[in-house]
Amino acid sequence: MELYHRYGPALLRKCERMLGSRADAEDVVQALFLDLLRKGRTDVDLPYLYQAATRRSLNVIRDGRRRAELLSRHGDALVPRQGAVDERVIDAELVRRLCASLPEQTAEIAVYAFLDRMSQEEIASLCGLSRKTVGKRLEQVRQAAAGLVGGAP
Amino acid sequence: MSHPVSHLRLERYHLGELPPADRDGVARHLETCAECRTLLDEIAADDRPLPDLPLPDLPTLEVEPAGGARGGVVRGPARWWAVGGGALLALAAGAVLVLRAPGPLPPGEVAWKGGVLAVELARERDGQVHERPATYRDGDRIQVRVSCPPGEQVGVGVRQGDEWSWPLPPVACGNRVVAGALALSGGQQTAICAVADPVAGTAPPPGQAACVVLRGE
Ligand SMILES: [Zn+2]
Repeated sequence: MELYHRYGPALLRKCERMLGSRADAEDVVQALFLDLLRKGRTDVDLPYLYQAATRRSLNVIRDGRRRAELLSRHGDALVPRQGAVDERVIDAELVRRLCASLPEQTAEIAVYAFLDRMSQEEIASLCGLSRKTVGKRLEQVRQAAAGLVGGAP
Repeated sequence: MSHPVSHLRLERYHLGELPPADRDGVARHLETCAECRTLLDEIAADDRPLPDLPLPDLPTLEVEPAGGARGGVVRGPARWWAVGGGALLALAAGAVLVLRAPGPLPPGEVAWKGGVLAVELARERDGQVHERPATYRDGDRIQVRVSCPPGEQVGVGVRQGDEWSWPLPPVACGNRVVAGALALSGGQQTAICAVADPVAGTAPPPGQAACVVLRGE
């Protein structure tokens, strides 16, 4: 499948960044392309696939049975903090923890902003949202992060 | 944290898929940003193998040798029917048998909805793929690809003798879309067709199907 060879590597890198595991990334990307094959979809580009891969990876993260394993993959290395959260501490592990509890769309936006380094404009365009909505969601993410980092031991 | 150039834009830059204006902007940024240059180098250097994409669980159609009063018999069941157990299998096998459409086979390509409706096959045998085969033998796996105007949907019909069966689910149109794969056996001449506006239980009218014929070896 041509699409798989063209976009597979980029999607594997992306999912690995989200999930912290190459094996989990491979599962997500394979499932995504098998689904496309079954549906006969060939009219897709990388932004579309990026979004689809993000949602599938979020499902893995949010899947209660797997959450414990994913969260413990890198140990609990967060340093307790008080007050506002420095964006530099919103790393992959914290995003995974946040995603397990944030509303779906907010979690997706958190991934784009903090793991994929997208600007608010780029997120707005990818998700078909206004820049203002993206800004509001990111504020929720920051508050949730501050709660998590400030409260958890 | 966001950065002037996201991972997605770097990936698209690497693939040469960014619009020209955006591409130039990324190129300028790369001149001054060591972090992005490193990321781009990592993308280019990532030669980890892409895992094999297992073929989806595709339906299987088996054809018994001719000889009975009805000629060829389509034996289901497709594997995606198999989950329901024996009763469902029997139902499915019965459901795919449709009937009596004498007359010449439609051509391999027909004009349809301002475009073309076409079907094309590939045959997999002992790990070797043969494009556009004219024959088949037991154990071959036949991949069916259809082409038709985007936005439309077509069915895949199989004709043996005067019987039509519909072993694959309908397909959303596109250019050479993989509709699925079939296992054929029995040696009977078989036409595999992309069918416009398929109606279950009826043979397609002339001009509504594009077919390729396979002979048994
Ligand atoms: Zn940079």
